[in-house]
Amino acid sequence: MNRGIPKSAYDALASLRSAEEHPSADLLNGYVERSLSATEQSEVTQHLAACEDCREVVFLASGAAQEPLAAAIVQPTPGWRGWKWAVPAVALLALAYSVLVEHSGWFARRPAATYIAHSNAVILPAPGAGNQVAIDSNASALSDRPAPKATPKHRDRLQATVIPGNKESSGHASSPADTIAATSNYDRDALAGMMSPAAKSTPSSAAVGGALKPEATASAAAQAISPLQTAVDQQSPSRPLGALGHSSFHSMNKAALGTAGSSSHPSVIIRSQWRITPEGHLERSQTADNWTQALADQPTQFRAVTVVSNDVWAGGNNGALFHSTDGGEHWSPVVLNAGGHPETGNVVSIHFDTVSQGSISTDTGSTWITSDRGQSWNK
Amino acid sequence: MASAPISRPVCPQPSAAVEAFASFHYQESGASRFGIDVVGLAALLTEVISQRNPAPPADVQNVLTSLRLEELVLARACIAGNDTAWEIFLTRYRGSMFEAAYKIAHDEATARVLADSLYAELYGVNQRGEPRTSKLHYYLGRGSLAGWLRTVVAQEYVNQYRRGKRETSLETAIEDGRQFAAVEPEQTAADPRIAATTASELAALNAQERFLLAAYYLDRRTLAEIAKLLRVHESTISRKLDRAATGLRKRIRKRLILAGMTSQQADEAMQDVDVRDLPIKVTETLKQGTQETAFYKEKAGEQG
Repeated sequence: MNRGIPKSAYDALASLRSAEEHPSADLLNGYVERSLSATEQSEVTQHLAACEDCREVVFLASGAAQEPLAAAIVQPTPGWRGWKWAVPAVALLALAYSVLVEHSGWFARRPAATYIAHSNAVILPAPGAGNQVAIDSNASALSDRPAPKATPKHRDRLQATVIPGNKESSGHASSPADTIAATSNYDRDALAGMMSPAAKSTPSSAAVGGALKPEATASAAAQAISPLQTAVDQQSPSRPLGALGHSSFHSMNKAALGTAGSSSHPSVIIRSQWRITPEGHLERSQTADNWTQALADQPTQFRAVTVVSNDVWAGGNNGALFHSTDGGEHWSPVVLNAGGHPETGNVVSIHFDTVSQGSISTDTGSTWITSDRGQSWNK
Repeated sequence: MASAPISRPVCPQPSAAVEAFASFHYQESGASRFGIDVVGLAALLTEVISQRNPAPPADVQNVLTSLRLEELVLARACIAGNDTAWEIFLTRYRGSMFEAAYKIAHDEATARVLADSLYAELYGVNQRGEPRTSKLHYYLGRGSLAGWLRTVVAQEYVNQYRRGKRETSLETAIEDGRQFAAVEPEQTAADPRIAATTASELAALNAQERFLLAAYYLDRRTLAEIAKLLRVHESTISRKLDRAATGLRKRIRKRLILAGMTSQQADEAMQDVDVRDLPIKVTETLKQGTQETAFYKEKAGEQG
């Protein structure tokens, strides 16, 4: 990078003065939090370009912000750079395919495997199927294709998990191709972009955190048709809620459907997906691109939703929290109360490790913990 | 905390849109906790919208939906002297205010002074029997209340620094061993074409580019700091800075040649200055202008 500018430009920059009044703290804070209208944003930027004091203020305020603000920093969209990985990935896949087919007779040794895509599409096992292989939704597009061997470079990124079939008490990875949980953005981009254009925008690992747990995978596979659902957790209160959630869950949905569509297995159950719109509405989808508002009668602006097994938790403004034990068919309000002081902060994060144990965070810094499926909460 | 009379600016009547919004979002706003009814909420919103002028009537709905309603109601209830509101406010923000002050001042004592002085202003100063005016009046719900408090702390810190610099006497400065530079002899007058061309090309940049250049080259902010503020990756900032600086150089040089300079003269005029080598710390040299503390001049200020 060229680190220098002409001295004349430096002098000219230093001599810039804004003729206008300083923006108020409300405007400057809106600038820091990126919550201004386009017009206001433009005006404040114009002022900041010529006002050293206000620049100092916004940088101080930004620096003093809690970590969530830093966490909300948007990483650049991989865009075409993500596609750079698609070419070697395709080549790698093709090479692995030819090696496996021509030399090892990989397919011949293996009966038709049944793949269960985590998250939303649950593919029922075909009669007589041998192993059941669970695939993380990020790599679900691989369901009908062999995966590449894990090279040393990628070995730490690729995790193989074989779920024991009905006839096996335990299992180990007979091939890295059994299951691949891609954990890097580039891996996921390459795989998703290569297999399904609709899945180019990949969900964050946080968004599918629940689906990445091996134990959950094992139990789900053992039960064969137990519901596998995606836990959704809005991580940042200061981030526009709809932007990430909408695209992520759309792509997840499409990826899952694409997987189901590409599978030769006939029985596909589409589980509910949940999202929060930019307006703070809680929405549910049971089929692709068909979203219906849930809890529409509530004035709450929702900020977080989490699914664990059949339980759905949704929270929003003013400590509002709702719980459904039947996948969102029926809801009951939950009051977070400690010593007669109800929670008044906005619920910004809901996290459940199991059906019973979970925690809720608010934008006031409060954390509520339950270990009995929400019957009681401790602050 | 005892209540004191507060100033109540005259507000226009709530519009139908505001009344509908207030009615629909009343429960969510938490206004009932502070004894504010739907009509009161509508009046409150109307007052805020009038403070946020100029907002075209067509934008009222956008303004309303973008408000931090619950925090705005809390702030207004505090202004009104509601004890419950103050209790909630202090519970929520006392710790974070001091933490923000500490992060800004990097010194516990200064942070304590900053936070304490802000408490007084938030409650509202009462000047000789006049109704008190709380600084919370200037919170208009564009961003979070916690973020607004951080910004106010930062403004107060900058103001205090500027006041402190201005009030330092000559004797104190001499006692501190400060050296005063001799008046430099006038340097060879620079070609006026350079300054004119540079100013013109700088003005042709968009505000975002000027902001980036000023933050990086004048204020000596790091790429990480700028990236955090603008919520983009450092590499994006680096790329934009590079593009802006390189483009600026090229355009200035081209115009200087068009203005009659030879290539060699233009290149000499384009001598770099790398501010990282300059013996000054711009961020510590806040302007000693004659302007008084100028923050908090939202329209509400005149009303309060």
